[in-house]
Amino acid sequence: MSAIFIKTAGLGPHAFVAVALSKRALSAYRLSFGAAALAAAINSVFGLLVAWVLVRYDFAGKRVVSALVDLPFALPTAVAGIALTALYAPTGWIGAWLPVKVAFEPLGVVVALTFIGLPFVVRTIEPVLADLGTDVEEAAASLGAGRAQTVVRVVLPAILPALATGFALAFARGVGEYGSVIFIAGNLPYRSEIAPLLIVQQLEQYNYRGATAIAATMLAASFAVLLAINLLQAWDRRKMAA
Amino acid sequence: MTVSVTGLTKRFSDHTALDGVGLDVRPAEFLALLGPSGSGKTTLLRIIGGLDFPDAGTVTFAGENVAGRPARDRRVGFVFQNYALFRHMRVADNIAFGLTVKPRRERPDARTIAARVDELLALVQLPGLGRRYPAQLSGGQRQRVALARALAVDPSVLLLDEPFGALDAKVRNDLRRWLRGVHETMGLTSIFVTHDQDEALDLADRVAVMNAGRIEQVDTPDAVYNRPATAFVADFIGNACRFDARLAGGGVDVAGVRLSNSGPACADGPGVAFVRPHEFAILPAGAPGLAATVRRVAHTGSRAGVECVLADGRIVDVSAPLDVAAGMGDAVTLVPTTVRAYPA
Repeated sequence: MSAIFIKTAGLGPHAFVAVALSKRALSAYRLSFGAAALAAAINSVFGLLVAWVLVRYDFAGKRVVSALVDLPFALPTAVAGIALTALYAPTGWIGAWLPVKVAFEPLGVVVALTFIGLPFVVRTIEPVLADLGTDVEEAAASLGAGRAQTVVRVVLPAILPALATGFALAFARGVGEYGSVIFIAGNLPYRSEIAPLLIVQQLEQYNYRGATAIAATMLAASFAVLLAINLLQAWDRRKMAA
Repeated sequence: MTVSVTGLTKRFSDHTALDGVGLDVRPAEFLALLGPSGSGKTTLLRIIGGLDFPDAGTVTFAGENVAGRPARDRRVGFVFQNYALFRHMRVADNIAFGLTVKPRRERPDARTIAARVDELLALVQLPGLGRRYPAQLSGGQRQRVALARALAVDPSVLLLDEPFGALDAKVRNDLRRWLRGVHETMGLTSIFVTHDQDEALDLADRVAVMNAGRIEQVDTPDAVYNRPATAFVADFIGNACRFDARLAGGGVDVAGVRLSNSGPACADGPGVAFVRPHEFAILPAGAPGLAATVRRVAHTGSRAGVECVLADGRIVDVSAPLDVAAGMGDAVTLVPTTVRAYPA
């Protein structure tokens, strides 16, 4: 990682701004970070639901569902990308029925990142939810709390740290994701081009300094976001720890 | 308030947890549900508390059937085995929880709630700890917070599931005395579940002994201990040793010794007899009785613990006076002095 910064330092401030903060790069950052955040937010909601069902309910085929959750971990990202593109393309099985265009649009990036990020949220929340047990919910009920009050005041605050970790992991994975996104994104400059692709393009033009400049900018931004999430968590944990 | 259950039956997929249980708990009574694990005692407590629902039977609070009513409408205080405190809330917020979730019309104002929390913290002897988090408390302190939280809503019944199960012996004894005191001050109908007979006999006004989904006996600790109604109770309470026996003419034949039956009267025939550790006399070998070999003698209490091995390999613990003559390896005869026998 230090090599990135050393290489970038050779660029000089003007050239750095010209590459790393160009209009095209800025819109790519916006897409990469924005889509990753949106996908992680979607995953936080649905990942929580999936984890809840897996922990609290017994049903036929539960092990299969549990294995399916891990699929994005195991599937080569390029395969995922091509499959998603085929499904969501205007002529695809799903894309043909949707009122909005998904593939080759920024929305396609969000879809790909949501697919990739789901297991991070599910697998982070699952053990915490299992550990929480049902007795705190029963305690809340015996004290007169309704179902909604129990969820909002007892369950969600207890799993919030795990949810934040899951969000952070899914977000981090989404920011750096390349393989599954480039097929579905369409890669139109200023519109559906992600920052990692920009790095690859710089590399293909043998502009190593330009590539590291963009990489360094992304690294700094990612670090800032993850640091903020970790600080929030540390603050939350400190209240509860002995 | 009187709590009554009749004909309670509850089946889980693979076993029957409750099999037609009936029980009346008197107002302000402290009742123990005692039994081995799997006897249905926790299920019974949970059904009374509205956390589980019976397949058949009624639960009445002061004459009113509440069997279909969920926990939040029953006004019960439930103390969970592992306390189930809300880890992300301060102690004061844990205690206030039941008050703050009330509908806006019934909810006391913040100052009233704070005063009530202080009052409860004083009652459970944790004044000034309201700003701590549960993780910052010891096991005994958490137990008290759980109790204060349950009491905050002025419950009509207090239900405690293995209240001392997770605590070490010393803390447990102190808390037992203290809980008895709290019960007497509050005058609440209280029911607690335990598998520890000492705890049940020591703490409760009456003890309901449960076995395999049924109640075997409901009685005072004195009666349960001295006059067990069934073979199960005699076996479960008092670390009794069990023998095959013959019942005849009001007497019992055990190991070639004939004794009068201290158990309830029963018909002649084959039976089982129970003898407690202090109900054996140790005589020299050769006398009529149970031939045994002394394996270990422990002088660690007010009486000596003598561990004997019978001819059939069974181990019998005998509690003898401290000046017992037996030594390790001696051949002796054990003669029951009191025996409770029941039809087999």
